[in-house]
Amino acid sequence: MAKTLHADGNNGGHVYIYNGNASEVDDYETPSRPDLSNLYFHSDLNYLACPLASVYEVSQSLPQITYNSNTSKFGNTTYTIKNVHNDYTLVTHNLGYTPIILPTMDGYELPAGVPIQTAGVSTRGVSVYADSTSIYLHTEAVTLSQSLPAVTKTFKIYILNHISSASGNIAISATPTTFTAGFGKLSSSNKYLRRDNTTPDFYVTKEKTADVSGGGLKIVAPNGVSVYESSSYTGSYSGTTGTGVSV
Amino acid sequence: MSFVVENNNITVTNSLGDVVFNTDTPMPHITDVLTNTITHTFLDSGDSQSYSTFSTFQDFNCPYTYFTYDTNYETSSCYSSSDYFSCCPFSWSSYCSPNYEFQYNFTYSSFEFVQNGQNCSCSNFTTTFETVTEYEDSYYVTGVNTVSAKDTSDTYIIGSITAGTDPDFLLVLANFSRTTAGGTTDLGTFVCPIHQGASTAANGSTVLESAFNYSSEQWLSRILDVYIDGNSIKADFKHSNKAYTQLDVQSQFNCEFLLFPSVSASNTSSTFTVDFTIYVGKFTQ
Repeated sequence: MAKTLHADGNNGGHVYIYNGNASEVDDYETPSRPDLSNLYFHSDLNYLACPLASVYEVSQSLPQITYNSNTSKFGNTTYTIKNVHNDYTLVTHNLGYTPIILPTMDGYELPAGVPIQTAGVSTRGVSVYADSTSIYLHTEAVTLSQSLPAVTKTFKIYILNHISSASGNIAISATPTTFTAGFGKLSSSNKYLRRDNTTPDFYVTKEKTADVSGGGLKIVAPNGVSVYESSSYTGSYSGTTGTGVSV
Repeated sequence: MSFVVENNNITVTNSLGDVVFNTDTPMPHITDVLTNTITHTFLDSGDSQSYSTFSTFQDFNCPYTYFTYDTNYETSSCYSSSDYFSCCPFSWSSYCSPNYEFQYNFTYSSFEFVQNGQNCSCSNFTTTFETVTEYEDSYYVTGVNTVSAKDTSDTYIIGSITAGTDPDFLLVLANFSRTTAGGTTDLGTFVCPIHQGASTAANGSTVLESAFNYSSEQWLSRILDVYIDGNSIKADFKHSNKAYTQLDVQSQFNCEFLLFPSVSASNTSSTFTVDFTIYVGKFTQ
């Protein structure tokens, strides 16, 4: 089916690109939800831009956490609980707003809070969070009678901005250096999150990515790969594969 | 920059030649942005206490002392030439009766019946005792708390989307606050690797709390799932724990009576408040 780009100087300056013929242009002027399946772009709709136009890849070293113990003169050793939490700056973006983030760790979509190390009752888990200046790694650990060795994790992070408002009065413009449409919502100065079925950087999903049973935990990342399953897990969760995306 | 329409494809590139837009790899629409706050309490799993008794026979930690008594009764008799003093040994009891005899009185040329000393019966009662130490059986009583197994799942509706949207993905930013933290008396509060009060990437499922036993086996898991069910965006708070016998054993030493040590129960209940901002995405099909 044909691809049609329609730009209208009237009717609010709508610009839209759809899968269909020019005769269907009125059908997409004010799209219904089912119409979204045939639309590639519409100036009334919202998109995800990648304001820094790149994927950040960061390796972060996490130090060894040594357990607390005390040995008496009679040789008796007692252990005490030690809680350690740290925050590491992975990326400084200075955007002035809190962006949407898509993090992966060691090649899979990072489920927030996933345990990355265990030794006896000792464990360390991680999550990624954002504010208006930076992206951070948060780690939380507890040790009793076994230490947690130092470890290095590699993170890949998409920083996204929700493009929801139009600006200016140019419905569509093409110059030798720039292209804009939909009052700046589609702009060659941005990069956007796009579907990638061949070599995606990330997968996005609308489904659950974990299950608990028997006290245990199983995580199947949105790329469909089981990335964590505790030996105590007794369920039958197999996960689903989401949609590959890249910028 | 290029804007190219050819072969039923529309492509836009930037000044570096990077693809910005391509109808073959379409951008997803963000159809809805939902915000809501949900508070959920994971209830306490409950506990049971168990006790074990270990007998330590003839343990020298449990001595006890008693006395054995030996009594002796002696009697004798004697004659005392004194009319007034007993002839019995000192400290003995005595019973004396006068001894009379006839004596010739030359003044009156007659016999007279006069006292001549005493006949005494003597008796003595003595008691001796001996200290004896023996040892009784002793008992160690140990008590331990076990967290009961439990599985729960509670579902909340974060928001609804327009019918017919049929979205493809959700991007979730969640601001977590753990207002009460459950745990056990041996390991403290459960580890929650989520930064409190910040926008955390919470796509799909988030691991809220985990706990492991001494064999590195995960015995408690709590997660939050955010997913689409029809036209609703839902949050499942799921909990699972197997029975966990705590490491902090309490012991009580007993010599005679069996006494049970005090064992503290754990409170595994945690409460989370989550502020959600959810972006609903839809791809061109």
